[in-house]
Formats: sequence, C-alpha cells, structure tokens
Amino acid sequence: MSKRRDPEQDLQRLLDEDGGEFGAIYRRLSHPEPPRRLDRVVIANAARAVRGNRAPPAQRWLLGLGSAAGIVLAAGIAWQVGKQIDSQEAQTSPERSHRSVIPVEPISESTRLQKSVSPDAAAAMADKEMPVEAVHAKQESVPAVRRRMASPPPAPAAAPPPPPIPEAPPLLEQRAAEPEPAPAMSAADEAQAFPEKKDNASSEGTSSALGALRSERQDQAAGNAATMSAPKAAVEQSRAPSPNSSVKLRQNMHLAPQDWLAEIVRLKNAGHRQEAIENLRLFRRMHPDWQLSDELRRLAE
Amino acid sequence: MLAFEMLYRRHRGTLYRFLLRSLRQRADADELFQETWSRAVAARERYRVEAKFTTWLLQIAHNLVIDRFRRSRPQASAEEAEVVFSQLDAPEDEQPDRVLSEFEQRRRLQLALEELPEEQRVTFLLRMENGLGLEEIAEVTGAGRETVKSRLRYALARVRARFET
Repeated sequence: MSKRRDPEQDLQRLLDEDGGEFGAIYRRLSHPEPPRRLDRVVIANAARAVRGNRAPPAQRWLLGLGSAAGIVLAAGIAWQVGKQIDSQEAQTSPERSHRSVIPVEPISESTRLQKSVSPDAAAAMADKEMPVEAVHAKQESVPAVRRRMASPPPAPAAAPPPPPIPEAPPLLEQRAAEPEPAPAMSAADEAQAFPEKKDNASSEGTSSALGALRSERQDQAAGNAATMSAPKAAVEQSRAPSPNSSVKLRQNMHLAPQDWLAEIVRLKNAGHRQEAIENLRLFRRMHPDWQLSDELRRLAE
Repeated sequence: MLAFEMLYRRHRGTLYRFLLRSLRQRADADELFQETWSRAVAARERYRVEAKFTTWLLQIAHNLVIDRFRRSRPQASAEEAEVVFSQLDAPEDEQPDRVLSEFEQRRRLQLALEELPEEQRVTFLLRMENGLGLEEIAEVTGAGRETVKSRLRYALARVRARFET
C-alpha cells in the first residue's frame, strides 16, 4: 500500500525552520566556497570601483604639479612685468618731473594788461602757465578746439611730440618784454589771406600747418590777444627752424603773402639772412604754389 | 572598503553555493559570482537601507542566473513538471531517511537539484541554501507568492521522486 502524500504538508515541512527532511539532507551536502583568487578579484574590483569616484592618485599628483607650475609661471610673469614697469618709470620719471615744473611768468604790466583784456585772453594766459598735459586737457573743452577737430586732422608725421619745457620761459619772457601785440586780424581778412583753395592744393604737411594756423586764427578772431597757448606754440616751434625767431615768424605768418615776401626781402637786405631763410621756408610750406622771384628762390635754395 | 569586506565574508559562501547549484557549472558560477559582486558595488547607491542585504544581493544573482538560463537553453515546461508531480505516490516505509544511506541521500538530492527545472531549482535553493521565506523568495524572483509556493511544491515533488526511484 502506498500512501498519497499531501503536497501542502510537504511544503509546510519544507518551510519549517529546519527545512524538513530534505533540509537536513541539504545541510549535509558539501559546502563549496569561492576560490581565493575569486575573493581577491572581487575585493580588488570593489576597491577599484570605490576609488573610481575619487581622483586617482596619479591624477591628483598631476593636478598638484600643474597648479604649482601655474603659480610659478604667474609669479614669473608678474615679476617680469613689474621689472619692466620699474624700468619704464625710471626712464620716464625725469621727464615727468621735468614736465611737472610749471613755468612761472614774471608779473609785468603787459601781462596784467593782457589778463584784463578778456576772459579768453586770460584763458590763453592760463594755458601758458599750465603744464602741457593740463593744457591739452583744458583745450579739449574749448569750443574753438572742437571746430579745429572738425577740420581735416593733421598727418601723424606733422604732429611732433611736445617740445621741451625749458624753451618756454625764454619765449614767455620775450613775449612779456615785447610791446603790445599787433592787433588781431579779422576773420574775413584772414579768410582772404588764407583761401581754402590753397588748403586743398597744399601738401599734407602744409595742411597740418594750416590746421594749426586756422585754429589759432579762430582763437584770435574771438577777440583775444595775439597770444598762443603753450601747446600751440610748441607745435609751431617744432616746425619753426629756430626758437629765437618764432615770435616774429608767427607775426609774419599773418601777413598777406605779398607783404610777407616783402618782409623776407627786407630781412635779407638788412643782413638777417638766416631769419629771412626761416621765413621763406615757412612761406613755402604755407604757400607752395606761390611763384617766388629768382632772388627769393636762390635764397630758399 | 572595510564594510564591504565584512559583507563579502558574510555572504560569499551562500551566494557562491546558490550560483553553483543553480548553474551546475563551476566556471559559470565563478563568473556570475564575480559579476554579482561587481553589480552590487556598482549599484550600492541604489541600495536602500531598509531592504535586507541578502535579498538585494540574491536579486542581483537571480537575475544573472535567469539571464544565463535564457541564453543557454529553453526552460522546462510546466507540463513536464506536472507529470513528475502527479507521480508522487510513495509508501511511508520508503521515505528517504529510512531507505538510503547518508551518502546516497546526498547524492540523490544533488542529482534531483540538477534535474529540477531552472525556476523550481532556483526557488528551491533560495529556500534551502539561503533560508528565505515565501515573501522573500517572491521578492527576489519577482514572482507572486502563490507562484513561489507552486514552484516549491513541484520542486519538492521532483526531489522526492528522485528519492523514491
């Protein structure tokens, strides 16, 4: 006789804590363990995976080295730049200290009179007393200069660096010692004396000179005395052959071409040959198309 | 890393035996053992503390085993198991612990396990080797509780049939 088993009962015995009859047999089965090499592989893989989240030591080392190299490089560049700046300052400091010297004009009757002429004249005098940079800054705000800016800009070659300041005091002294300047020309007269068509025909250097002259003419047309601001004078001086004759040259520039030529001839005949040559050179710059006489042409050559 | 090593020491044996007896090939067991731990490490961020680590680890292993089964050969049909189950008529005096020697008992159980259909074998092993209950087996295998019970019943019948032949 065989007895049919109850599957539910067998299952219940299997699910008992001891696993029933088969549980006991199963526990007697061999208990194979993973081989040692497998243990090593698994643990090594796990360690590698955990370390993978962090930067590997080699990369961290490279990062540190790169950072250090960057700092050293930056420090080197900063040191070099600082060295260059120091050397530049050492080169420019004499000029700066030189520029910072403000020429003092002795108070005289003529200057007092000039100051009392008009506010523009006073501004012109203030220009004289200012350092070059300050004068440049101030000129930017003068409407007359804006008009000059609207005119064709002078060529870069025609804009030399500011002249050395030591030249200014003699100029100022000379000007202070001079009698009242010649009355300014009216704008109409000057327009006639310097027609625009000559501007177009003139060379680049001439146009730059004319630009400077036109600005001066506008300043004078505003009613101020025949004084020039320091930078303007400096520009003119840089073009003028000699600083000693610059004042006379500027006065002669405002003459009509025929009168200027007559003045040149007079200077030559009076024995002031060098001054005549300087005047003639400037005349030829300003009036390149003007036909000179043989005498003056020889003088120019 | 120390915590991992502790976990590893605690679970390495049962996991390895589960894999070895499920797959019946040492090489496969070695491969999946390593793969199970690698996936456990890789998925450690997703591990929920409230879950039992054994269950979680065996879920990974079970999925790998099932994938391997699917790749290797078709699964045994339920009908085939049913035939074995229907033949479960054994006399009481022929119970395995009475008839067979201890060695023979172990050998027959080993053979019975190897002959079990894969799903039944895995379920049976999860119960015998890892001591999981019905709910835990259901959680690991992703099957319903009644399915787990059914698989266990079929597995038990087959094992018993091996002992009675």
